Order: sequence, then C-alpha cells, then structure tokens
Amino acid sequence: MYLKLAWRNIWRNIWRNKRRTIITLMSIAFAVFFASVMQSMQLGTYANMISNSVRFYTGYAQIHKTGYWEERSLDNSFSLPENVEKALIASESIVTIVPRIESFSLVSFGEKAKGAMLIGIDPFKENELTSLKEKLVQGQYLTENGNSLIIGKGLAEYLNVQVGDTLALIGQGYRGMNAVGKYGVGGIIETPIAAFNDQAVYLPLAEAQYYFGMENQITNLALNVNDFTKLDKLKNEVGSQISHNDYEVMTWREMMPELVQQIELDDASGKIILYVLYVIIGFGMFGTILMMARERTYEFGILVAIGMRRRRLKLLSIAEMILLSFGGVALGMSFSFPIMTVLHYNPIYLTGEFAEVYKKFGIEPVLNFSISPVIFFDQAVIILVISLLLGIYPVLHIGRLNIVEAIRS
Amino acid sequence: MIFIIAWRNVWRQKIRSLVIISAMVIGLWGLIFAIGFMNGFMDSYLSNALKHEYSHIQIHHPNFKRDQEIKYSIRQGIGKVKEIGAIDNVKAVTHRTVINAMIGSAKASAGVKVLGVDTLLEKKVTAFDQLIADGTYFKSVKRNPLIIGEKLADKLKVKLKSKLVLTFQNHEGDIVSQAFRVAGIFNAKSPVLNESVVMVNYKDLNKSLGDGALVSEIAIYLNDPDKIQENYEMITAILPEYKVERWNELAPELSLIVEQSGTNIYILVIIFMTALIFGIINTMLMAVLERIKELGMLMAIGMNKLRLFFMITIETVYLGLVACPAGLFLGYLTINYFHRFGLDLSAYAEGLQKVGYEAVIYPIISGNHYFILSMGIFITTIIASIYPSLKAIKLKPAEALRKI
Repeated sequence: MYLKLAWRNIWRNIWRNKRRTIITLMSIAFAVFFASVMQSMQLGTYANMISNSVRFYTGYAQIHKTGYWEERSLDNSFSLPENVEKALIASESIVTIVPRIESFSLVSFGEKAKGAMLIGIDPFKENELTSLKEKLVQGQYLTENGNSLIIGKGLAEYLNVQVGDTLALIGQGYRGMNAVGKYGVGGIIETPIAAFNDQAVYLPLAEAQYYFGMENQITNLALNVNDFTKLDKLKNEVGSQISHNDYEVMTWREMMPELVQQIELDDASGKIILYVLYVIIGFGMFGTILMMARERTYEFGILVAIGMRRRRLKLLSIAEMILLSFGGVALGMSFSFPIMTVLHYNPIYLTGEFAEVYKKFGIEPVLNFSISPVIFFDQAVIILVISLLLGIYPVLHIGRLNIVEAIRS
Repeated sequence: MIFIIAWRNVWRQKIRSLVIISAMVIGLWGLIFAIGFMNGFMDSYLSNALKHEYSHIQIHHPNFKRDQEIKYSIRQGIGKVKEIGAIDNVKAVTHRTVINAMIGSAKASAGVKVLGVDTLLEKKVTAFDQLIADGTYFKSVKRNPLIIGEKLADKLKVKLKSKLVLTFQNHEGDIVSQAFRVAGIFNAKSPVLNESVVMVNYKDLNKSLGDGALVSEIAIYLNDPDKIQENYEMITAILPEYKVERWNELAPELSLIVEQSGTNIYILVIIFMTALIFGIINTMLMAVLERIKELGMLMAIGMNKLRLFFMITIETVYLGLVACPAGLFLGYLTINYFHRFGLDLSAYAEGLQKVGYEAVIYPIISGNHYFILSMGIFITTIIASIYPSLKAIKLKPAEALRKI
C-alpha cells in the first residue's frame, strides 16, 4: 500500500514537466546510444583481432621446450613423450593438440627468391584449430603423407608461381645442418593476416621434419581449448602434467603481449572519450535535478510541515532520478540494440584505401560489432553511478530545508 | 539595452547557469585534450615515417614495385644522385640497392629486406645514425658491417659482432651467401624497419650481386616539404623513364591517416556538441517557462516578438560566451603542460611499437582547432536556443500574465 503510493508519487513527479523529462531522457538516451554503439564496435573489433591471431596463428595456448619462446630456434625443439600426449588428449578442457614446426627458409622460383616462414603441420589437426582448408583459394589442401606444399597468396604472387610449379627451398636445418628440398605447389591460401599471406609456406609435418633433418621433433604444440575464458586454469592443469624443467606452457596473452596492449590502449582511449561525454550528460542531468528540487521547495516545505519524514522525501527524490536515468538507458538501448544486432550479423567489410590502412596495421579490414551483454551492463552501471552522485543534491537540499522559509517562498 | 537585460537574466539563476556553463567548459576541455592527443599521435607517426622510412620522394624502376628484382635498377644511378643533390631545396639524397634475402644466425633464420646503402649519404637522408641503440653506425666492424633492427636482432639472437649470413640471388640468378657482422643495432619506430630490414654497405652487397654500380632506389629528403611539387617536376625531368613518387604516393596510408584523423575530429566535435545541446535546451526552456509572467508583461508593454526571440537567443549565446574562453584556456594549459613534459604511455610501449608509434606522446593543437571549437560552441548555442526562443514568442500576453 505504502509502496504503491510512493510509486505513484514518483511517477507523477517525473511527468509533471513533460518537456523537461523528455529532453533529459533524450540526452541520456543519446549518450547511451552513442556509447553502446562505439563500445560494440570496439569489442567486436578486439574479438576479431584476437580470434584472427589466436585462431590462425598461436592457438589459445602452446607448449614448447623451455626456452623456445625466448630463442625460437629449431635446436629448441622437442619430441612429445607418448604418456604426456595421452594425458593432454584425455584432458577435458583440451579439444585438440596441434603439433607444428616453425622456421624460416629461402624459397625460390625461377629468378626470384624470398625468405619465407616455413610451417610444418599435421594437416588434419591444423585444420581443426585454424580452419586452414577454408582459406584455400586454389588447388588442393595438404595430405598427411604428401610432399607438396601450400603457399600464401601474396608470396605466390611475388614469386609468380601457380599451382603445379616446383619451388626450391634452402635453409638451415636442425643443429646447423643444411636443409635443401624441392616441392610442388599444391595449393594457395589467402588469410586475413598480411604476414601469413606474404610469408607463409606450409608443408606436411613429416615432410618438414625430413627437410629440417629432425625426425619426430616439433617446435611447438598448440592447444585448442573448450573454454578460452579459463586459460589460466588450463595452464596450471597442463603445467601439473608435464615437467616444468623441460616444457613451458604459454597462453596467447603471454605470447602476444603487444596485441593485448594495443587492445588495452584503444579501450582506454575510447573510455576516456566516453567518460567525458558522460560528464557532459551528467551536468545536463544535474540541471534537471536542480530544477526538480528547487521548484518544489514550497511543496517540500508543506510536506515536511504536515509530518512527512525528511528521510522518506530524500529517498523519493533519489528514486525519481534513478527511474528517470533508467528510462533514458532503456530508450537509448532500444535504439542501439537493433542497429548493433544487424551489424553484428552483417559486419562491414572495408574496401579500397581504408582496407590498405587496416592491413598496414595488421588488422583485418572489417568492422565487427559485438552484442555482448557487458556493453549494456556498463552503460547501466555508469548511468546509475551518475544518478546516485547527482542524488546527493536533493538529499542536501531537503536536509537543509527551512520549513518556514520554504512555505513562504 | 537588450544585451544588458539578457546578461542580467543569465545571472538571475546563478547555479543553474553555472551548471550548464560547467558542462560546456568540460566538454571543450575534453575535446581539446582528445584532439591534441590524436594530433600528437599522428604527428609523431607521420614525422617518424617520413624521416626514417619514406623520405619525401623516392625513385624506382617502373617495374620495381611489382617485382623487386635487381634487374629493375636505375642506370647510372650514382651519377644521378649527384645531379639531384644540386637541386634547390633538396636537403639530402641517397641511393640504395634493395634485395630480398634470407638471413641466418647461428641460432635462427628469417626473411629480410636488405638495403645496400651509401653510409654517408644515408644518414643525411634518414638520420639512421640517430636510431642506433647499441654499437655504432657501420663503424665498429671492418669487413662487411651490417646494422639490424632491435626486434629482428632479438629474434635471431644476435649481439654486436655476431656473424650473420645473407643468402640471396645474384645477377645471374645463382644463389649466393655472404657473411656480415653486426656493427650496430637500431631501434626504429616503424615495425617494418625493426622487424624485417637490415642495412649493409652497398659496395659489399653489390660485389656479391655482380654489379658494382647497381642502384635500385633513390631517396630524397627536402628542406621545405611544401615545395614538393616543384621538386617533383624537376626530378621527373632528370629521370623521365623512371617512376618518381612523392611520399603520399609511396605510402597512401599516411595521407589517409591524416585525412581520417581530420574527419575523426569533426565527428568527435559533433558528438560532444550534440550532448551539450540537450543540456542547454533544458536549461533555457526552464528559464523561459519560469518567467512566463514576466515575458508576458514584457510583451504586454510593447516588446515585439522578434526582440523577445532575440533576447532569449542572446541569453543562450552568453552562456557559451562565458564557457568558451574558460574551456579553451583550460585546454590550452593542459595541452601546454603535456606538450612540454610528454604523456608517458610506456606501459603500452610494446603495443604502440607494433604499429609504429612512440611511447611518449606530445599532444599538440593548432590555432585552427581552437577556432573550430569556438565556432562549434557558438553554433551549438544558436541551435539550442531556437526551441526555447520559439516557446517564448508563442506565449499569449493575456494568458501569460494570468499565470502565477
């Protein structure tokens, strides 16, 4: 009964000046709309950057011989003991383990040659983690026992090779041995990561091991996991199964600190802009609450005079502000959510010069939008904090109210 | 007269006016900081890219960009360098041999772009000697010295004096190897330079390539970059059969970044101003509505509607007029402070370096931007005043007077 009355009071107070309420609502809605769309784009882009790198390159975590990451040489390779392999496969949080050899070699065709990243992979397992097969634009994917290679599109164009041509590979193998080989081009892949497009050459793992002269050895073991939010737990779990002296387990965050920092920095600069925007909106809201409190000085005076508790009046005022704020948040989200949803399912692919700039910075030229609930939650929290801060004013105003003066005003 | 009335009206409700003025001051201040920050980022990026990487003008064989082969070279290149050096406004000019090669250390190997440079001319053009973080600029090693980026050196696990073997194709298409020793390690902001470029003396490299006078690239740094067009035409006249490119053609992304950041600034200004408009409208609307009786009286005693409209508009503009200098001044102080002492983002250094930015940003803002912001505030207050002013002149004197 009492709550119902309070509710009716709040509702009517908010709507006693329709225009002012609508303008205040719109200003909050504008901030929420802008902030949520911007955050949606940022989060979407970060997720894409991470998944591009993680899903195409590192995997969520990797196991190496201790010291490999510091010194990425073939000499720091290892061969996985069978019992460890079994334990990893049996682990519930690991979906697949993907063995690789990574090194560099000079690739030449006709009169041209270029240093390339040579990656020996298990064709089937690699595809499970990175969907490499889908990136194929020409020719055939690798087979486990085959001896042809696949090559990045940019590198293929540079060397001017077609599917079916034979490339000569010259490099340094295991323990300083010479590595020399001739391989036919079986397929050409196109990836969103420029470095791979222009540099990558894939060989079947066994062939790469033969080429480098390191049978059964691999340089890293990428892990595909069930739940990438629990990587630290996974790291501990895997770490307990293998010997710390011999192996290191690293998550993608440790392997790509620059990516993590780029994201943090961009996120921080975006947040600063949003906070300033919210401060501006906050002042607008303060203007409204100031007027709502002042124009009712007489009314407050009467209410207190006839026995209304000041505390109850204060609560009422804060409740009005909160309700008003959340009305604005809801209104803003009702505009932004449909737009975000449409863009989430239809990302914007950039073309032309802009695409080049993105590639130059190593980012896929696509604007992704996230519809993560975090975005809405963030806006709601920010607005709630602002309205609670602003709520201090009517509380002070009511506390200082001199009944006699108020009634005469 | 009307200006005085409007001014006094603004200060009748001090707190309310101050609230909205504060909103504008903070908006301006935030904008100036954001713009200064963006400019600072861009400036350091652009000047680094021009100074150490692209220079102002480069010349190549027309086919070089597509196929970076040594047969696509500039004939009598070394002689042309002297000729270009004599042109007015050309500060420095140098020639380079450019090849793709495999680089191998005792520990690891990688693909690199090798620049065979004239060490004396090179440092005048790209100031690479200033980028040396460890060792010397080609001096400390007698035979086949090489300088290498920090990132690449790290990857190959090489230190000063370490031996590195370059493997590449020579003039005849045979694969040859040549050993070099690390004389210096440089730290360039450009990730491309840091991760995938090594420099050697062009004489050493050309010997192995089998053509002592080979030049694949000429780079030119100007005294006054604004005269680039003039110089471009002169240089084209000297080397008509080669491709002469200005920096914005060499690196279209640079000019695009400049353009894009200009657009970003306008977008930011529009968003902040829109946020302000709501607050201003609300404040002025209240100011009008609580003075219904007074405005009615003014109309009743003969103030015409145009003047009334004008008065409300001026009141609104006054709010901006007070806020504008305060906001700009606060912004100016902040930018000045950080411009002098720098904004240290070392915590994000690796991420910044990955995309070629400095870790310490020196925000900078041009007079032009202060002007844009002042105009922005002025336009914003005018737009925001329309609705409350219209509301005021729609009042009917008789009804308005009867209001309590």
